[in-house]
Amino acid sequence: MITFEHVTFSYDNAESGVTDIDFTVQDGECVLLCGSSGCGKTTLTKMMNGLIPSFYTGKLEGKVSINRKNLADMEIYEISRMVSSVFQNPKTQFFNTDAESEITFPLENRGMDVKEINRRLQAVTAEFGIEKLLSKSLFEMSGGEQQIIAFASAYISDTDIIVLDEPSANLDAGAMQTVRRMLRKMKQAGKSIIVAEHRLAYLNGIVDTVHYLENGRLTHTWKASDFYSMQDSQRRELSLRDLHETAEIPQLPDVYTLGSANSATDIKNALTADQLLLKRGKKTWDYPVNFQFPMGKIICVVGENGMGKSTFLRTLAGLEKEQSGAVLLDGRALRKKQRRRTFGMVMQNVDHQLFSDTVTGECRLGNGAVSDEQITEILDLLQLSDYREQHPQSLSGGQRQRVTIAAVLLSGKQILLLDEPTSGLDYGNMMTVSRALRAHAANGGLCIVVTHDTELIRALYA
Amino acid sequence: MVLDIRTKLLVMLLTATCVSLNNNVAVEIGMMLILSLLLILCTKNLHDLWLLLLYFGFVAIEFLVFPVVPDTVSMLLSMPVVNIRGFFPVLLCVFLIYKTTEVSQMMATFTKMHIPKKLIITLAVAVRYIPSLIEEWHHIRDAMAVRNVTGGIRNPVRRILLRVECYLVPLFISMIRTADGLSAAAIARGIDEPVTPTCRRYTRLRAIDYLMMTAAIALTAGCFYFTYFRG
Repeated sequence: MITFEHVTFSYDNAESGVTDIDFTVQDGECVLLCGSSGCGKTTLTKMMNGLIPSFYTGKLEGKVSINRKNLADMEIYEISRMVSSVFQNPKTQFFNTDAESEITFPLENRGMDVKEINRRLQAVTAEFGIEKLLSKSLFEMSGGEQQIIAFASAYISDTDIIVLDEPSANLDAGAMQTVRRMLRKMKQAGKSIIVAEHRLAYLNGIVDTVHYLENGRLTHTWKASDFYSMQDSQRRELSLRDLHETAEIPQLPDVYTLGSANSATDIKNALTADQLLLKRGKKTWDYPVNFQFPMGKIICVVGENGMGKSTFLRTLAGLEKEQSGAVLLDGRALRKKQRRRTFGMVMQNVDHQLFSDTVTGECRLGNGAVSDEQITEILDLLQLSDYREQHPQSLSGGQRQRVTIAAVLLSGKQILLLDEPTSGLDYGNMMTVSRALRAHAANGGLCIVVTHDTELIRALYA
Repeated sequence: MVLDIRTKLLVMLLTATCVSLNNNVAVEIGMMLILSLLLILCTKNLHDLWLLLLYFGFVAIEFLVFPVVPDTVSMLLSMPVVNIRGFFPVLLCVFLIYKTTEVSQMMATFTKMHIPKKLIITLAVAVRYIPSLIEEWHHIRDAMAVRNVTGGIRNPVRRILLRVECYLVPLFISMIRTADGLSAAAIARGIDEPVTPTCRRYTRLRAIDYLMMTAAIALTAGCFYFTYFRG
């Protein structure tokens, strides 16, 4: 049993923390912590695995305890025998390079007997059905596969409590179903599960209790059945993402399924592709891409996993060379280098795309001609006006995402390519991005958005 | 062929000794050929020969280009072409260790060797971080390519400086974030346990290791003899 008794915490570097948190997680219960970006849900997970206050220091008041033992009196390694953790970013949670050692890492740290480790490894491998995965290097795995290994490692530890911090961030729809299956397994095994999440639909049927945080305070608690039957209007007011499975992509004229025929008729004032064949490194795709996207539109590109959606966008952006075929603007073929100059792009990981030391500096970078008025207008639109002089890297994930979008909107480029621009965003942030893209299209620009986010697709064409 | 980390470390140490003793190109080429053969036997990937090809490129420059270009040019080029080239055998050993050693094996062996835990963890993180660093570098290069960060700036020096800055800022930020994330995850998973960790991936030295170590020692002795008594 985990108990939070009037817990208040503030980080040393004045980053927001949590205030007066009071709740209990019963044995075998699955608890969902939700709320908009920066609400404090990740902070609570770090308290449960002991990283706060030992690793991330700050001022802690109140008491967090597991089975009546005060965590503040324990070392992190002692807590790690009771609590397993799965983190948001699989890339930074791996210590090993091979999957087997990664799974057994917590057991080896405890100095467990090799025979017992091997026995448990065999059992977990069979239970999760991951025999094939074990021979792969962790660096060759997809985000979803890496997350499976992280789950297996948490499961093998045989702790009663498992804490997960946004395990589905950066995962596509298929991988999320895998995460769901694994959570179900853990629950059946009687574990207490605490999961902090933005994406909520896939947890329906697994969680028992939902806590909602706002500015570091726990403001709402629901039973799962009440939470998932909430009115849509209330859900939006709380800035929460969709509560129900909507894997089905809305059938709209501007939703383009990669590989489907979309024949070109009038090539004026449009971006077209003629028999474009994709490749990335040694990998090739053998279906031809044909499309015609008129200016002044938002085109959402969808398609199954492995269809090469990201490669498609990278090819348009001039980062990959096509096998054959052509990309044409106004009927004129553009070579790779010309495409780089003509198109603006926002990639999935925003951290690599921020170069400047202030938000306004970022907006000016590469385009000295942009006026103060234009910057103000775009920053207002993306609700970033309060952060003009802040360092982009000091902002939250959602805010950084919006800064990259602001920079690309101000780059003066008419055609914008966006790869999953809303995967880690809460409802409010997602709507803000959607409004900005609609404004760009209304001004005659073209936005091509690769996305799995059905809620975004509906918002873009509402 | 699978070699123990201890064998590879010894080979690297002896190679470094030979490099510091030697000033004969023929011996250097011999070392490169032997080490490249070892590398290919271990990785079974002919693409890994790029280091050897680069080496021969440098040798070719020294012997074919230097005699025909003006002295000032050959002097300017001699730093990378001759001096750095001399360290290629050691670089090859580092590359061999990096390509063929898993973090878990390294930690297990070092733990058995009673190397302090703090040092092992630092080494493991460093090795673990190299592939991430390469990945980060590619991401940043792509982001720069589509961003045209130097647009509107004419001064070539400022353009170069800005480009360097734009590579370094996100690289440092992501290095800090990755290091932070790696440490937090490792600590939360019990790396600080006061007990001796299980060395699941530890293996004893095998016949091939002893054979390789003996060969390496013999070759070093040969190099010694060549330098002091024949050379």
